[in-house]
Amino acid sequence: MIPRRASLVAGLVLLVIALGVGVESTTFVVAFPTDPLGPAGFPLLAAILLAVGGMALLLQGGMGEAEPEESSLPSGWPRGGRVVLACLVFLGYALLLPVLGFVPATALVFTFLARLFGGGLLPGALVGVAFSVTLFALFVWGLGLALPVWPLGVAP
Amino acid sequence: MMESLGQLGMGFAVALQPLNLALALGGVLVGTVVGMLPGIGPINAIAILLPLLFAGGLPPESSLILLAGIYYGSQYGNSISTILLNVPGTASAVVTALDGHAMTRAGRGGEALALSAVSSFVGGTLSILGLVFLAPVLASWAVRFGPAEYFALMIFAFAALSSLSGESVPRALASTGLGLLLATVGMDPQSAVPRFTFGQLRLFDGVDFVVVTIGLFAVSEILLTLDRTTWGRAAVSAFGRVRLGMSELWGMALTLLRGSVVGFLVGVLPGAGGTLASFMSYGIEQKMAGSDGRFGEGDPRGVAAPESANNAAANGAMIPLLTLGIPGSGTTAVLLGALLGMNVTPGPLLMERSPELFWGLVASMYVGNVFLLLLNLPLVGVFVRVLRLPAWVLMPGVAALSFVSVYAVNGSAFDLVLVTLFGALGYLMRKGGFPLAPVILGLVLGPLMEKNLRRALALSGGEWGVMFTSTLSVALWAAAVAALVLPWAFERTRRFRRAAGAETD
Amino acid sequence: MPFRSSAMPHRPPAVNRPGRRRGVGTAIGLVLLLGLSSCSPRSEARGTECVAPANPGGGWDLTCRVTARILNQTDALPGVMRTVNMPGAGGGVAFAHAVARRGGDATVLFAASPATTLRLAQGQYGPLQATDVRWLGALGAEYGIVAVASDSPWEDLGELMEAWRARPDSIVVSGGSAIVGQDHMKILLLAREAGIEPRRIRYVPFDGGGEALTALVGGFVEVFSGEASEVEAYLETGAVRVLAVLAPEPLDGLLAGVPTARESGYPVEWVTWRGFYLPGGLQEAEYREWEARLERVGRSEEWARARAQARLRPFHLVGPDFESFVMEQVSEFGNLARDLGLLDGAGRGGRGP
Repeated sequence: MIPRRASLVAGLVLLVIALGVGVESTTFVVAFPTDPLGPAGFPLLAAILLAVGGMALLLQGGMGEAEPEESSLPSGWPRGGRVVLACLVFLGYALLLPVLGFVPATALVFTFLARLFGGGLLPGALVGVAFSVTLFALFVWGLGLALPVWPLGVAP
Repeated sequence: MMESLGQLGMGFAVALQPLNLALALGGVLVGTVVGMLPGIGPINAIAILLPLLFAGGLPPESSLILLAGIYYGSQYGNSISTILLNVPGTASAVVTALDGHAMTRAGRGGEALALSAVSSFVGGTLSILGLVFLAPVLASWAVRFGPAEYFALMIFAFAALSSLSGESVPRALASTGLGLLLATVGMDPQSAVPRFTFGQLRLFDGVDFVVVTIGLFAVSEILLTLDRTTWGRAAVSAFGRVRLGMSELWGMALTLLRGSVVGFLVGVLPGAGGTLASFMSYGIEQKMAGSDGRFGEGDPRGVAAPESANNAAANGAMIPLLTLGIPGSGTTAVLLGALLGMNVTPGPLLMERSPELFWGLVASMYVGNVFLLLLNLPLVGVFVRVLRLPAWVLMPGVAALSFVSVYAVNGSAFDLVLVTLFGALGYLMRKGGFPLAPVILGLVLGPLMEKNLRRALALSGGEWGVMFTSTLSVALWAAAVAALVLPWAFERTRRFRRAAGAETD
Repeated sequence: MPFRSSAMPHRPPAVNRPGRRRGVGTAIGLVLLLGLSSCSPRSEARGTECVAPANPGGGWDLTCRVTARILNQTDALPGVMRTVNMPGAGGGVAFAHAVARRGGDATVLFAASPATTLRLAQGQYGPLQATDVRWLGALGAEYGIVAVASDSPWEDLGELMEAWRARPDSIVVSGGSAIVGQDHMKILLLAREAGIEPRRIRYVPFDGGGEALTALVGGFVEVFSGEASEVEAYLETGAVRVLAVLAPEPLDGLLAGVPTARESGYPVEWVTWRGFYLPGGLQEAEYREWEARLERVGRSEEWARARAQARLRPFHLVGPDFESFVMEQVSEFGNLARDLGLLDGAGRGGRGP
C-alpha cells in the first residue's frame, strides 16, 4: 500500500508542475510564426495530462478512497540516509571527474559506493582501481573517445 | 520476385567469402562489448567505428558486412546489460527491460538472454522474407504517410500501450504527461524558440534520451537496491537454468511471428519506425494475452515480442533508406553516411541500378544476425555469471559503467548531474507507484507527435479536419479506439458471464 | 521531482522578448558552463582536437573526421588529431566553449557551415559574435536548389514565382531546416526578390531534406527547398523537377542544364560551405600555421576524393579571404534578419564586423 499522504504530495507536486508549465509557455514568443499551433500548444497538452493526473491523486488521497493494491511495489518512504548519500556521491563524481581525471575519480567513487553496499574499504578500492583502468582502456584506446586523463589534463 | 531471390543469392555469395565472414565475426564481437556500455548504443558504436573502417581501405561490401556485425553485436550487447543489470541504452531496450529484468530477478536471466538472441534471429529472418517480396510495394506505402497519418499512428501506439501503465490511471496519465513534457525541453525544432531550458545551453538540444533512461532505470535501480536491505550481499538470489526449452519456444511462435510482422511494417515508416516497433509489438502482445499474461513481472513473451520486432524493424528501415534515401532510424542514418562514403547514393533507383549492393547489404545484415546467434548462445552462461558478483562489486560497477558511458559520448559533466537528478526522480516515482515506461514512451513519441500535429495543421492552414481526411488516418483512429475499448469490453463480458455463472450455481 | 518543482515557479517572469531572453539565457548558460560543468574533455597533451558541434553522423562530424584523418596521415601536426563531438544549441555549445574556454588555444579546430553564421547573425548564440573567433577556411560546398514535383504546373522558376506572387497562401514549401533556418532562408530570399511579403510564405519544416522531399513526392506540399545532393537520386526517377540552382554558375553532373536563379531573373545564391573556425586570441603565427595546414588538406588528392564521396563541390577559401567572406555573410544575414523582424529591438547578435 502506498500511504495516502504520498498521493497527496504527488498530486500537489504534479499540479504545481502543470501550473509552472502553463506560466512558462506564455513566454514562448515566435518572432516569425508559421504554424497555427505554435510552440506552446503541445507542452500545454502535456500539462493538462499532468494536471488531470495530479487532481485525481489529490482526490484519492484527500477523500481516503481505497487505492489499488500494489503489492509488487516497494513500500514506504525513502529510508533517507544511504540513498541521499549515494546521490551526493554521484553529484560529487560530476565535479571530481574533470578535476581529478578519470581513473582516480572513478576509483574513488567506486570505493565509496562499495562501502555503502557493505563491502570492505580495501577490497572496494582494489576492485575500483582495476575496474576504472579497464574502462579507461576500453574507452580511450578501444573507442578513441576522449576522457579527462589525469589531474589538470597532464599526460600520463 | 524470383529475380529478387536470385539477387539475394548473389548477395549471400559475397557475404560468405572467408574475409567477409571473419569481418562479420569480428564486428559482432566488438559490437557486443561496445554495446554493453549503455550510453554508447548501436548508433554511436557505428559512428565512432565508421572512420576507422574507411581508413582501412576495405571494399564496400566488406565494410557493410563489418557494419552489420557491429550493429547486431551492439544491439545484443545492449540487451545483455538491459536484461541482467536494468541499464537500457535505447528505446527498444527499455521495453525489453520491463520483462527481461523481471525475469532476471526471478532467477531466469539466462533464459531471457537466450530468448532475446533467438527472437532477434527470428525477427531478422522473417523480415528478410518481407524485404524480398514486399520492398517495392511498401516503398510507395511509406510515401502515403503524411503528417496527419503519422499523428494518427502515434495515437494508435499510445492506445495500444495503455496497458503498459500499471493499475493506477492517474499515475499513468502523470507519467505519460511527464514524458511528453520532457520531450519538449530544448530548442523547438520548428520555431527555434527555446523551451524549458532555464538558460542552460546544454539543454538547448533537449534532454538526451540516454541520460533519461539511464537515470530513470539504472541509477534508480542502484538507489532502490540500497534501500532494499533484505537483498543482502548477492544482487540476485535465485539462479535458474540457462537453456531455453524447445517446447517453450514453440509456445511463443505466434508471439514471434506477430512481433516480426508488426516490427517490419512499422519499421518501413521513416522517422517513426525503429523506436515505435518494440513498443507497439509489446503493447499488442499484452492486449492479446489479456488477463493470462504476467507482463511486467517476467513474462517471456514480453522479451520475445520487442526483441523480434526490433530486429524486423531494422530490416524494414532498409526500405525507405534504400528506395527513398530517407533514414528511418538513427542507425540507418549512419548507414546512409556509410553508403554515401562509398559513392553510392541511396534513392529510388538503387534497387534497379545496383541490385548487388542492395541485396549484399541485406545478406550482410543476415550474416551478422546468424553470427550473433552462434556466438552468443554459448556465452549466455558466462554473461549470467556476472550476477554472482556480490552487490558491493556489482552495483558500483553498474554505476561506473552508466556514468562513464553517459559522460564519454558528449564529454559533458552536466549530463552526469542530469543522470543523478533523473535517478532520484526515478527512485521517487518507483516508491510512489508511478510507472516508468510511459515516461520513456512519451519522451520517444512526443517529438514525433508534436511535429506531425503541427505540420498537419500548418499544411491545412489550421483546419483540424485534416486529421481525418484520408482513409489511412481514419483507419488508424478507428484502430486506436478499438485498442482502448475492446480489451475492456471483453473483460466486462467475461466478468459478467462469470458472475452470472456464479449466481446460477 | 526536485528538479522541476523547485526550478519552474521561481523563474523571473520579466524576460519576455525572444531576443532578450535568448541573450540572458545564454549568458547564464555561459556562466554555468564556466563554473559548474567544465565540459572540456581535455586533450592529451600535445595532441590536437577537431570539435564537431553535433552528434556523430552529421555534416560537421564528417568534416572533422575526414580532415583529422587526412592531417593525421601527414606530418603537419604535432601528435594525433582526434574528433570530439560537442552537440548542443545548433553549434552554440561548441561556439561558447571556443570563446569562453579555449581563447588563445592553438590545439583545437571547430567545424562550421552557414548554419553557424546564420545563427550568429540571428542572435541565436546570445551575446556571442562572429568576431569572437578566428575564421580559418572552407574546403567544399553545396548549393541550394528549388524543386517541384514532376506533375507540377510550373516549368521554370519565373512561372513559380509569378504564381506565388499572385496567390502566396496557396503554395506550401517544405524544407529540411527549422523556421528561419537555411532552407527557409533560401525561399525568403527568393520571395524578397519577387516582392512577396515574407510572412505570407508558408514554410513547413521537416527533419532533413529526405523527409521534406518525400512530402513533395507524396503531394503534401507544392515546393521543396533544399540542397543539390538531396534531390539527385530523385532526379533520375523523374519524380521531381529542379527549377533553379542557387549557385553562381550552372552545376555539372545530374543538374546540368538547370538554370541558376540569377539566370531566371532572381539573383539569389546559397552556398552551403563546410569549413572551420579557431578560438580567438591566437598569435598571428599560429593562425598562419593552421592556414598552411588547411591549405595542405584542401590541395590533397585524398581530400578531393573524400569531398566527392561526401557529395561536395569544390569551394576552396582559406585564411584572410575566408575571414572577410564570413564577416560579409554574417552582416548580410543580419540585415536580412532585421528586415524580417527577427531581432526586433534586441539590438544584439546581428552586428557585423
